Amino acid sequence: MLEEEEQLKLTPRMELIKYKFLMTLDDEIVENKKEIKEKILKIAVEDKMTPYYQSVCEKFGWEVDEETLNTLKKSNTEELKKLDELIKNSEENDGESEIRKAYLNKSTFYCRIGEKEKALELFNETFNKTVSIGQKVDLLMTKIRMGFFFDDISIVETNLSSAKLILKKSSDWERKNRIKVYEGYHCLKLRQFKKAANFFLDSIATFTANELFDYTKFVYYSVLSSIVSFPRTDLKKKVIDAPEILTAIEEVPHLSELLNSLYNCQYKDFYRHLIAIYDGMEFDKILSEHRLFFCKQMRIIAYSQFLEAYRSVTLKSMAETFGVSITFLDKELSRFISAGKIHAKIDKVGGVVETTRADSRNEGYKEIIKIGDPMLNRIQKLARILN
Amino acid sequence: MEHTRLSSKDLITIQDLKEHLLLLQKSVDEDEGRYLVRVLRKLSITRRRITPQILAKLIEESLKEESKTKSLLVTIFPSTLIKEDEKEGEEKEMQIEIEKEKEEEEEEEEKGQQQRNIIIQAKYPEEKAYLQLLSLLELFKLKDYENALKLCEFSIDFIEKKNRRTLDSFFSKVFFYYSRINEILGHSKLIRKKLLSAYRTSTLRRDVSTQAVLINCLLRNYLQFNLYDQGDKLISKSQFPPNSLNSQHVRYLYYLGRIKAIQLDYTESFRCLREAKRKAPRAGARGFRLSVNKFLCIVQLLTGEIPEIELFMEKDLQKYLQPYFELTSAVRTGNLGDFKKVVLREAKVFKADQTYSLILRLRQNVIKTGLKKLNSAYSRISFEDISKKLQLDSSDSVESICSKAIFDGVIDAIINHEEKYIKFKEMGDLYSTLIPQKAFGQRIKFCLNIHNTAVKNMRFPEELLKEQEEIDTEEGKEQLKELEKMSTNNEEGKGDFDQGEPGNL
Repeated sequence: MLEEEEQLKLTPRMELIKYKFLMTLDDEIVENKKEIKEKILKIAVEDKMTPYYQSVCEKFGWEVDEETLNTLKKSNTEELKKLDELIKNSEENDGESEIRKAYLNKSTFYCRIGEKEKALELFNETFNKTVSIGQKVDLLMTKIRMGFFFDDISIVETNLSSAKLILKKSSDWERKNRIKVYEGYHCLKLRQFKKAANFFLDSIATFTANELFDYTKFVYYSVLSSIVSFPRTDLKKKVIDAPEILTAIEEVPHLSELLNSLYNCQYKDFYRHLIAIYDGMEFDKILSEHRLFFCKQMRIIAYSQFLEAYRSVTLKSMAETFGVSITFLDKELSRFISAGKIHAKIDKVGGVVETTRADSRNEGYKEIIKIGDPMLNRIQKLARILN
Repeated sequence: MEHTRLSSKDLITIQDLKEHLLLLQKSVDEDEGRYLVRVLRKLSITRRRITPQILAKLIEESLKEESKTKSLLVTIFPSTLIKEDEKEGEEKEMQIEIEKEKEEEEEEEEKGQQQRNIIIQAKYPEEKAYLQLLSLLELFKLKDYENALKLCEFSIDFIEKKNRRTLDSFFSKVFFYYSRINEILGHSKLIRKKLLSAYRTSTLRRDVSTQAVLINCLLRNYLQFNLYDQGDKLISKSQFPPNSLNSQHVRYLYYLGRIKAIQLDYTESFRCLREAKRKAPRAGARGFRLSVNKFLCIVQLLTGEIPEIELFMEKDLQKYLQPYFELTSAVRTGNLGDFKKVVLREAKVFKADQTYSLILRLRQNVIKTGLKKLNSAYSRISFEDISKKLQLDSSDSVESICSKAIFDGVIDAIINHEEKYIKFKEMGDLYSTLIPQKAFGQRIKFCLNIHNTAVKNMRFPEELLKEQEEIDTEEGKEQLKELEKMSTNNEEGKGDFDQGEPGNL
């Protein structure tokens, strides 16, 4: 059983996601594209991934090598035949668990070669034949991984919710934590940094989801999602001082420096490391879409943190602290202030920034108007039947 | 129109229509407007089910030979539309019925109805008007505008002579289609006089629904030819009846909003358009919602505010609102260069939507919005910096632009001429002004209004009790069924917005 679990965990091949993404980037940024292409092809041939090979050649405009394709197809049909025979045999002769195992083998095969629809179908069938909760959840997690692999959010979402439902009644903490990691990854994709941070930090003590990404990457995601969503106290307690994070954080360049420079208000260093991290984010599939947003949020956090200490501060000294020019700082601040993210006002004539404290009563009033009006619209709709 | 046999579904529709005629008769006999309202509410569903063949049969069976209505309608929907081998057809249909009974149990109720076979002769003008209206709708659906126009004119004469208040709702609908068909055929100019005189008559007779429809038709007519002054005069001289149907009220608000926008009264226009949008149906009426959203966007930009992004995010309208979204982004950033580019690129779309002239007025607004943004970010800023940020050419014109903006009330500021800077006033504590009180008061008033209207519209349950006694008679049973249907299906009739999707109440 344990071996089976391990086998299941290995499909589909998650490294391929990374390689495929790197291939889609500009040629100037990624230098060793040729090597990556070879790696992809090697894995495709090794695992006999016919449909994946075809789709990836189509996408990147590579020439389909007829010979390799034929060998792949042949080996696929052979394996399929064997598996079908196995199923037939077990259905006639053996008991429940053998039948289940045979179906599982076939579904793993489809998953491995990259045949999405058939794999999902067969997984559903195997699911119906599975009894134990743990194995059921394992199947669901494989389906979620397939969702990540094929960029299909609906698969991920449906299977996440079913897995959570099943796990509610069980006390299998290992799987519960693994599902949390999956959920956190999914939230990262949807830019829900706060939720993702919570999920990651909850499961950091018992990280076992090595099939998704390794521990270093996990720490990378956790730190980045928490630095942009947690207030200072939580950040210190849960991230900066957390032993699990401290073990691996050094392996990611600039990450611990970013964290510490923000916490210690060393803004010049902070900016330097932020730029480095921003560049690094481009190579990660999930984070690359959000890197502009991330950068913007970090800047807002830094400026607000700086301005919290002052009633008024000259633009010159602020610019010096951050290591930027006054024009740049002025542009940034005016943009964020008019968007309402920073509570301050610039006095350009005097070259000073004055902070304004938010008035909760006025804020509350504005909130009421903003939220109340759509509700009144809905009541108006109800009132239409009265005519 | 083809000659085909009537299917069993059609026969059911015919029975339903005959029941409607019965209800209309009842409405007149008992002097209860409810039944008429009920029939008209179902109109949007009924009109989808009718076909020329159904109408032909109905006309044949329900109208007396001598009536003028029949003679006109028979020329349009001759009974020859129905194939002659009716006897055979009927037998076959009986067989199909028996099979259906075995297969689908839902059909049982309808089968029972069918076998009842109502025989009815139209004796009141209401019923004739109803048949005329159904024929008109069918012709309109088939795009047979010539015949539809003839029928319209006949119907208008017919109803006008009778001068019965129960015919008001039919009258208004006929006028609506009259105006629309003339618009499609391009004869709008010619009918203006007729519409105006009809409006005078309907006001004298206190015919609320026709008044509303006619005002809307006239306004639409004027707007089509850009006669905004005349439209304004009409609005000022007439009073839109407050107890009209919601759908007419919405149209009126829309036309009012558009006229006000042209006349530079942006706040009033915005208020009207926003109310029109609120009262319009959530799903369906897509063309209307699209147009309202477009004008809302432009008028809001003209008042100096930026529309919320939710305005552009409604799923079915998103594609068409894309040019307006780009326009809003350009105005939002106060970027004059972008603004000019977007206007040039999408000029065709804007002209087709009739928003082009309003958009040209937006150039000033781009500058004003830029100033507003500066207002929120800066407490003091020099003219030179302003001209740099807003991409204006000289810093001299900046001062005059700022002073104009202050005068218009766009920004709250003081110009320091000697030192060449502008100082923005603090926003201050809203709560120390009367603004929250007014805003809350408005909303509370609105909620109380709805509460009062709801209370007024309640009906005593005693009517149900009265009908409980009659339940022994078959008629009583029918009435009870009708009432149940009414209370569960009261979403189906929403006035005359064409797409009858039930709203999500």
